[in-house]
Formats: sequence, C-alpha cells, structure tokens
Amino acid sequence: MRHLPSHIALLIFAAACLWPSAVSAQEKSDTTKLEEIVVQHSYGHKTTSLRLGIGAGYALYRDLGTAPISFKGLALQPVVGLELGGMRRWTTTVDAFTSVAILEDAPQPKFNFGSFGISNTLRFKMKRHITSLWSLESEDKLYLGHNDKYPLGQKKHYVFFSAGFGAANFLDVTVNPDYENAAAGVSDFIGPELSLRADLYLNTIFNSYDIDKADKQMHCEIGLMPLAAVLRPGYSYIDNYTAAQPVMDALFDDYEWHIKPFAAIYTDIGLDILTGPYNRISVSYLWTYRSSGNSGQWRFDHASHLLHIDFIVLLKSKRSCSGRIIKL
Amino acid sequence: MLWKNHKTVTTALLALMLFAGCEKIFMPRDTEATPTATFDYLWQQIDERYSLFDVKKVDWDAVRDSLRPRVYDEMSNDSLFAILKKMINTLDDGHVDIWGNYDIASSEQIYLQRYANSNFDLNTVALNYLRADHHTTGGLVYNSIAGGQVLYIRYSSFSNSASTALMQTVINRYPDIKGIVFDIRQNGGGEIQNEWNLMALLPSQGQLLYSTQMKAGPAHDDFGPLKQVYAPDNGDNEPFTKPFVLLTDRGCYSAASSFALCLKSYPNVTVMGDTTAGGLAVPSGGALPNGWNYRFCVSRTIAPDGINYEHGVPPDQVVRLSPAAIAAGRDNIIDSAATLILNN
Repeated sequence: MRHLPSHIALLIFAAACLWPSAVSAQEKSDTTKLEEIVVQHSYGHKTTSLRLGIGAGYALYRDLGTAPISFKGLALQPVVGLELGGMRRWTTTVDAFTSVAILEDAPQPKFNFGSFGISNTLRFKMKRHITSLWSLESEDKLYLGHNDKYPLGQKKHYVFFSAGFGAANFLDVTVNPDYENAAAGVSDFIGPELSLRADLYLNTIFNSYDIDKADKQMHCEIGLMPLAAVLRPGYSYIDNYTAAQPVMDALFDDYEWHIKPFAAIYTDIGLDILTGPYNRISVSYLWTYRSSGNSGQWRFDHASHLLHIDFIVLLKSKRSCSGRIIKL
Repeated sequence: MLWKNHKTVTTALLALMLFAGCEKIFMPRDTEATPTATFDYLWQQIDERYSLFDVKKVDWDAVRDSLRPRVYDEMSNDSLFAILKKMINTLDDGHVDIWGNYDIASSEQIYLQRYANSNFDLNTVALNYLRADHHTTGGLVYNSIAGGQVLYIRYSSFSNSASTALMQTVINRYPDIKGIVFDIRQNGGGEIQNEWNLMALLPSQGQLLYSTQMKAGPAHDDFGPLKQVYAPDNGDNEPFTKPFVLLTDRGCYSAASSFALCLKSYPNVTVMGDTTAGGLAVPSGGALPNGWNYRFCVSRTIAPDGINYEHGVPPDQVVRLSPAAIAAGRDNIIDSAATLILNN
C-alpha cells in the first residue's frame, strides 16, 4: 500500500507529459495566425514568495539502538518557506518542515499515545534551469534569458529542467516512554543536497515579459544528500547523566558524529495550480528517506510519505528588466 | 547527448522516481517476530551491551546453550515469556526486566530479598514514630522523636519530590534537634536528581562519591572512560552538620542504593540497618522483535574504595529488625539511630 501514492503520482505525471502531444495537433492550425514578437530583455521579475502548507500521511522510524523493528504511524507536516527569485534566474528557497507522527510499534500493535516521532527539516536550496523550454508539441525550444521569439498569446505546453544545490539539516527525535532512560533518541543529519527537477507548463500563454500565464504546472523533483555528517547515540545509547552536572552538559554526552555517503533522498511530484500572478496552490506527493547507515553505532532509518497542499503567495514583486518589444 | 531530447530526460527522471518512493529498497528488513529471533535478539543484546557480567559471574554462553534448544517458532507467547524470564533471572539484577501487554518478568531474587529480608514494619513506624500528627512536605513525611530531640524523616521513594528547599523547610521547623534519622528502607529508587537535592544540604568537602563508566563495545569488558562524581557544593544552603543517620535495608534499590553509597562519604553520616539490594548501574531500554519491551544495565559504578557494590551497599552499622521489638511496638533500628545521635 505504501507504493501506491508514488506510483499514482508518477502515472499522473507521465500522462500529463503525453497528453499535450495528443491535443496539440488541433491547436497547431491556429498558431500561424498568432502574432509573434521578440522580447528583448535580460530577466523577468524578481519575486519573494511565502510558502505555507501542510502534509498528511505516513511516517516510519527505525532505530536499531533500541529495537530491530519499525515504528509506523500517521504523520502531519506543516511547512513554512520563503522563495526568492523567478523562473528565469536562480531561485533560492528556504523551507522548514516539522512533522509529528504518532507511532505504533510492530508487530504486536499496542497503541501507545506516548510514542511519537518528530522530524524537523531545514532546507536551503538554489536552483537554476539547465535546459531551455522544450515544446511538447514540436521541436521548438525557447532559450531562457536571451532574445527569444515568443508566440504571444498562444497556448503551448513546455517542459524544462533545472538543477539545484544547497544544504539541509534533518533532526529526528523519537520518543517511546517504554524505553525508560532510552526513551528519547535523537538523530541529526547535515550536509549538502543536489536536486534535479522537471517542470511541465501546461497551457502556457506568453505575455510581453514572462510566461507566468501558464494556468497549470506539474513538477517532478528528485534530490539527494551525497554526503552527510550524522549525529547518533554512541554504544551505550544513553548519556552518563549523574546529576552532578547540569542536564545540558550531559545531553549528547554519549553521542557521536560520523560521515555517511548518500544519507538522504527525496522525491516531490505534484501539480501547481496558478491562482494569480505568481501565486499558486501546490498539491504534491513528497517522499523522504534517510539513513545513518552502518558506519555509526546504531543504524537509524526514517521514511515518510506525505500528501502536501501548499500555498505559495507572492509577497513582493519587482520588475528587473527593461523589456523592449519588437513587432515582427 | 542526454539534454537534446526532453523525453529522454523525462524518462530518466521518472525511472529514478520509480525506484524512489519505496524505502524498502534501501532498508534491511525488520527482524522477524518469531520466538527464535526474539530469543536470539535478547540474548545477543545482553551479551554485547550488558555491563555487569564481571560482578554477576554468569556464563552467558551456557545460559544460551541451556535455554535455546527449548525455543521453537510454533511455541506460545506464554512459553516464550517463561523462557526469557529464566534467561534474565540468571543475572539476578533488578534492572533487567522484560514486559509485554500482559505480564512483567523481573528478578525473582531481588523480589525475595526485598520482602523476605525486610527490615521495616510500616505499621510500627506509622503508629509510633510518624504518628497521626506527622507532617508531609513534598515526598518527606516526618515528626520529632526521642522527646523532640531527634527528627525522624521517612522517604519512601526517590520518585517523590525532595528538593533542597523542601528539605530545608523541614529542618528549619526543628531548629533545636540534635540530629536526623533519615529512613529510606524499602525505597526502590526513582529520580537520581532527588539524591542530589538532598545531598546539597550535607556538608560538602568536594569528596569523591563514586566513579562511573558506560559500556563502549561488544566485549564484556569494553568500557568507556571513568567519570568521577564529587559531592555537590552547598552553594547558598547552610549545611546540616549535626549527626545524620541513614536507615537502609534489602529493599533499597537503584537510586536508594546510590544515595547510601554517596552518603557514606560524608563525615556526619552513619548508614545503619542492612545491606541495600544494590542496583547502582543505569539501565537502558528497548523493544524486542515481537514488540515486548526490555531493559538492562549499560553502566557500572565504582565506589571510592574501588569496589563495585552492585549487589548491595553495606551499612556502617548493621542493625536488624527485632521481632520482639516490633511486638512491643518499637522499631529497634530507629531507636538505635536515635541513641547514636543522642550519645554523640
């Protein structure tokens, strides 16, 4: 059952990629009538957007320092983020996710309200397009950021790819009161992240400056943390707290850092519905997985499958180009 | 070139995402919840992480060899529980337990010595020492005895609140007493912080109380560095320098034993009664493959004299409860402690 959301999302995305090719034939006959312009400009708008949303789904935690079994349960994940940029430039995003999951232990479930997992993600990412806009109906390409020939007012479907890099920190806390002194387990992953993203613009209409009139977008992104510094409990798992020292001094006394290659991966696939200039509602399926691997004392694995609905609201927009329209 | 065709890139990305979205590709499977896997897991966890094999003198391999043949995957939960209970009972450790939804297995030996060798009679203490006009401040229940010259304080659990301020309040109520009898008999332990709160009112000389170290590897003698623990500063508290007699018995376990060990280092303290039940090491917990919970010790505590008193902290003065005294409504241990204070 866990595979279903990702596969459905992939099917939807694949269908969306194929569908424009099918319908494009009937639109093609009209394209020649449309006015074409050359937009001479450097870049589009500078935008600052706020991202607010919530995800719900399923989370899994397994900490071999305390149990060889997975703990699973319902997870809720609010997100707040800031997006700086525009489509044609470097886009910088800072997102903070916090998910809280109420967990059941397996395989003899005994619903324990006191058992839960909290996962915090802080992600900084800069991404930039690495290809031009590819038309799905023809061999047309639009080269972003250059003098381009834009089919003004024409509805077309484009896909373009972008690559991103940045850094992320994942802090996972699992709490199980039945474990007494080992009731709380903390894991922290910090490291660089790389990502690859495809954006599919459906029914794109160009205006003089930008392509933000696309009424729907689909996206598909995969990212991974190629190298992470991981903080995990040491061999004894619990701190050697003696009360002779302040609690904060003893906290993480037993914890150890280690390096883990390919510690984390995520995928994000979804549909963005544009509700206004630069404003959109994003419905997406987000899968994350991370593992401390076997190089530390006790392996930790965390996965989550969440259906997100996020609202991206334009806070500030500034036109940074001085566009000159030349009619052909 | 990959980038020449968007369909190639899209297909590659979709293929990547097909492999993603399923953590099972990356995660080894959970350990099976079978009785054999559960037995093996618990045995191995204790073998590699338990910290007291040197004082328990248990041949852990022999324990496995004797019990493992009796475990099979079709056995009932009750039968498995009984075998795991036998396994942990060989350690004779009150900090080694397993529990499921319907039963708890703890050390039978610790249970027996707590009740069979009890040095405490609650009715006698309640009726003739605390009396009906006693006071209760936090977890401290108290009254004066010996004609008002001695303060008797009963502290039944280290899980009950006992802050420095509470203890100071109790002492301030009796400015003219000649000493305190502090009774922790049958105290099964609790919060280590409460030990510290109480010690903050005893005259500190910064003396070594004990050393502790954590298990640091799978071999039975793999331990991390020793950490020395010293008497806490009195700070702004005025230390209680008059005689202080701590009453212990075989029902004192965990934090109560640790408290007895620490107080032996204070010059105005006499530990009286019986040897405690021990339990100085710190337990860590977890879950077994079948979902039952467990705990066992992962540290060890060494006294300033270099001995690990895991099996019990001996008193400075051995005094056993006399059935004749109890029959007469007296607790001869409390009376001995009061006499010691008055003769000081």
